[in-house]
Amino acid sequence: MKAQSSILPVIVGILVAIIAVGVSVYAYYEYQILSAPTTTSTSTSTSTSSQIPLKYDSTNKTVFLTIAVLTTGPSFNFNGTSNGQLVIYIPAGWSIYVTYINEQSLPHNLILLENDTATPNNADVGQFGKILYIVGATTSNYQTTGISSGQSVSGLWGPINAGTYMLVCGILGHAESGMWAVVVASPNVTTPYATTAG
Amino acid sequence: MNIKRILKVALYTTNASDIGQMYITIGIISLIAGAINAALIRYQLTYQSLSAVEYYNAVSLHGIFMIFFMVMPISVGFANYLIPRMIGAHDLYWPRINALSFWILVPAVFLTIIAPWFGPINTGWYMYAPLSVELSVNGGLGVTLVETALILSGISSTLTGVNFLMTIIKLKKVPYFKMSLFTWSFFATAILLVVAMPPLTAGLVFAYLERMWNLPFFDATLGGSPVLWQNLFWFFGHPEVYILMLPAMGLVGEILPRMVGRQIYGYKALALSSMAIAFLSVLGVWMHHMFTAIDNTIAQMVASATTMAIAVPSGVKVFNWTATLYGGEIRFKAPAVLVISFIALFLVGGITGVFFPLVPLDYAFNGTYLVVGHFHYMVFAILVALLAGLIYYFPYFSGKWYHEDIVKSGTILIVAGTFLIATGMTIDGVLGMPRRYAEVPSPIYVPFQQMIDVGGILMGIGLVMAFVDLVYCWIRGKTVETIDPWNAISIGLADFYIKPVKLPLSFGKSLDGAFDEEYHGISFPYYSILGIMLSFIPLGFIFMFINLIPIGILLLAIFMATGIYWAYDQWFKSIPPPMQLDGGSPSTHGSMANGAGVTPALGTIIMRDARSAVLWFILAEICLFGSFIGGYMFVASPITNPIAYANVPPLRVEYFPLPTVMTIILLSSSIPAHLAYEEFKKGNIKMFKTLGILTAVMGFTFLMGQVYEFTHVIHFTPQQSAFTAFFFSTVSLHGFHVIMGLVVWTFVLLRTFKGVTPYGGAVAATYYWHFVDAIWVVVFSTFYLHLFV
Amino acid sequence: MEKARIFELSTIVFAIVILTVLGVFSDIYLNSINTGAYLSTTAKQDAIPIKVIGMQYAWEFVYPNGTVSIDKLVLKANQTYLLEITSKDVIHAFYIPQLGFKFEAIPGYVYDFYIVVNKPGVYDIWCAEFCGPGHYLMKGTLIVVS
Repeated sequence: MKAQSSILPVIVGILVAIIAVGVSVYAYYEYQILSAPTTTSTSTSTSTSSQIPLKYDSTNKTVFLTIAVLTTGPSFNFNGTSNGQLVIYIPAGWSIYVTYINEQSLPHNLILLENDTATPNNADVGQFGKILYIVGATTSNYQTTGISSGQSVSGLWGPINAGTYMLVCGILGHAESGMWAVVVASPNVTTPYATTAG
Repeated sequence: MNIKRILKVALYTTNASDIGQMYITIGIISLIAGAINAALIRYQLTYQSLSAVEYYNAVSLHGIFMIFFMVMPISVGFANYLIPRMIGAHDLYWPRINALSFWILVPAVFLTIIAPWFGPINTGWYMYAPLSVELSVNGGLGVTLVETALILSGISSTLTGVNFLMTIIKLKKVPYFKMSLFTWSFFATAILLVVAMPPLTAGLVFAYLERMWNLPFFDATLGGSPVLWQNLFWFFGHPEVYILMLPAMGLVGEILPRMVGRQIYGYKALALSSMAIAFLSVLGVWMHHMFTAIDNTIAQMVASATTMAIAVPSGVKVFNWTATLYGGEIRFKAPAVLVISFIALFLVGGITGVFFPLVPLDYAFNGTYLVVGHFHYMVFAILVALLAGLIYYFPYFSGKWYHEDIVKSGTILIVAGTFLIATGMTIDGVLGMPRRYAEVPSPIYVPFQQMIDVGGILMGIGLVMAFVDLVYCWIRGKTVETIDPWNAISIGLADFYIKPVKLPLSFGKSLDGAFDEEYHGISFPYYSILGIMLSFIPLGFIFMFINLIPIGILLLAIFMATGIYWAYDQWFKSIPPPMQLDGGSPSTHGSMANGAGVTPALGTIIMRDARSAVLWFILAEICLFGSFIGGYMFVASPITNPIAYANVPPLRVEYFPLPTVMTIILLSSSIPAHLAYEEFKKGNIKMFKTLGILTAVMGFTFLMGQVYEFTHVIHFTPQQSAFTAFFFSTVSLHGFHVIMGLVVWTFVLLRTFKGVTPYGGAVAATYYWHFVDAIWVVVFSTFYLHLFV
Repeated sequence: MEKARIFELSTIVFAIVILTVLGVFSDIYLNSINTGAYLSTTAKQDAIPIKVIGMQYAWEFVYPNGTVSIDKLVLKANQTYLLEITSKDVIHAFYIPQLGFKFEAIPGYVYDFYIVVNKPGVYDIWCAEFCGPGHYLMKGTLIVVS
């Protein structure tokens, strides 16, 4: 067989060798940089129970609440908090227009739960409370379905009677893993605000 | 070749060469599916823009496509294409069952492709329970369809295994130690297919029943055990990796010496080490996948020792292949680049593997990217060997030459890519990164994940380059002018015993390429239709379990009706000639009609062959029943399932009076069965028929007794506990085999009444019946008499 | 015997010897890890038992006094503990990457392992057996105080 132009494999071989060596060297140096001991930046949760103001419209009696599931901090979080650290105070009888954003790739939904227990005690949120409102899923698929990867969803919830409620993610096991916050609707609250207990 | 001819060949052929090409086609389709899933995995790990559920679907399906539907079909495809040509057989021992095996696989691949649209498949490729049976994560039918596909694939593989064992042992024209190395490796592989697939099938049936019908095989609260799944799966899983590796090693054994221009070094060592690897892979090795799941030091030490033992025959192979490179002149064509890369990948992969049997190291590295890196070295070695096979045999298959420089450049890219990928994975594993994470858990792992991405891109470009050139040259390449494209014959290393008369050896052509095959007198493509319809059985049951009972029954009815029509049309309407001993060469078809031309001498040979075939089949069945009964003993034992043993009260079944009476009837039916066989051998057909009928009647009585027992005597449901689940499933499995035995008796006796002398049938019916009785002894002792647990 | 055969046989023998030596050493260490033989009897008797329960998708730790902690385990340096590892739902694996410690958490089984950490600090607890879509988020912290 006549020798075809056998220069192509040689060129490819040289290129490949350069790429392989280059990638290896790059990876080695990057690893050295990334594994150098860093000053541990402990995110101290500020224990100042300062009030965080919330947007609202008193003529419509609506509170505008944005809840984001972050990719930093605790895995199962609302706005970086977990396990009921976040408490939202609204006047009794008002409504909440909630915007829910999930930045994680793991799906989550958001439920306003009329809870029977002080903390989540079951993988299924429907077992320790009554689902009042839900975004990101429906009452039939909330245990397995949600939004993810930067998606956001909004909903108008209310009017909400006086009482203490839980904000939970309905996916099986998530609330129990810490994904819950508290909503207090009280006649003693005139201006909506939120606190994050340290 | 027009489309009509292609379809006709595809649907009607029973020729091993054609079936081999169809297997390779389905393997390449699965390669594309698996590669798409790999791209999704890399995309998520680099950009994090999929959802976690989609990512884990890609992870599970990547493994399943590549292992079950790419490597295994391409290996079986090569076996079909090459082995008859290499040993001088005109086809496999059972060409029609060969066609059936292929067509059983087609719905399996289809179901796996559509499965993610029916439910999440967040299980990983080894589908640990309870995650795979738990419906909160894996609800819907996605996992069920994949389990169905794998059950079908297992049946296809087991039939292929027995077929090749019979072919190699009975039809070879060369002595054992002159068989080609590929034949030796596939011989070892076929044994593993017979022994290792049934435990997987058993485990999948348990998982299917637990998902669809709540039978608690793996539920610890009801007496089951998740560790049972691990044991069943890995008992299959470890021999499986050798099923994947041995044919690839066989291809290396063929291509390497011919690229170097000399005989392979250490032929006998290479041949026998394949058998040694197969043998060792079935002993205690499988538990090395479970070092972190079983807290039993003795078991861990045994598994560790047997695992290290396998390194020895593997090392022998590496030594012999490397030694072959000396003393010859390497032609650096694309296949040579690939087989040398195979040796390098296998060697490095083997070294990374040595750490795992050192159990304290496994405690650190199990479940990390070190495992992923190790096995990617190995599977890339396999892939590279399969590609070498595709390229080396390309001139024979197509009659054309590929462009050496383009394909060789492609192989360089592929090899570089595989090394970058597997090395990046290994380094991340040594640094501790766990596997199956949808996001990289710490920044220190990222540089090596980027190395994997670069490797993936190189490999993708290389694969596209090589495949595009092969397809292009298949259509418009330079014609091969000789029947010896690689000059193998001229250096005394002929590729095939059946020398090609004319190239190409392509679809629809005879084994030597001399003429196009014709399909006389075959009115209906039975084997393709029946193979596809086998999927109707598990699918029918799925419909019944989701409360669409009429559709389910319809599917089962269609399958049975087609089967009965096939039996009547092919075996009764015009009593056809008996199975040909040389695999059905066209020239001898129709030479023996109605079994009347079979001399007693020929009859003895038929009986001896039938006995070997039935015994191999019974071996597979023993592995199947062993999984059911062994599985029960595992969950019921205080040693292997201590907490469940203490907490779940045992259930008892009354063994007197009905079961004992029925047992006596069934076991006694072996007496007329045996006497029937003796009478047949003496030529006393009338007594054979009478005693056969008596055997069948006794078997039928046993079945009726069981039906009565299930409906009137037993008071528990299958869902109640692991004992009830195992009781119902094992006794029903046995009952199903009694039905199969009765079907065989009916078939044989009906044909005997029509005038046929059932040489093979008498052997099959009686041997199978004795097996069914022997299994009942074990089942009865385990579940009724509780002799063991 | 020709040179090549001698070479081949010696590589096989060499490999068997190395593997056997490595195997024997690792088996001795394995037995030591599994049974806690590297600890003194008093250390084993005084070992504090802690239940480690994996679930989808968090780690639950139960201290001997009944305190339950999610995703955070606080241990004292140089104190021997006995971790009783199990799971509530599916198979997980309790993995401390910096210590090379790993064992599966399987529902229906409880696996006991002694652990003594000598160096105070913060360690990661990761899940190392695929347990569902939240598998990669099952992260806990081990805090070893002096």
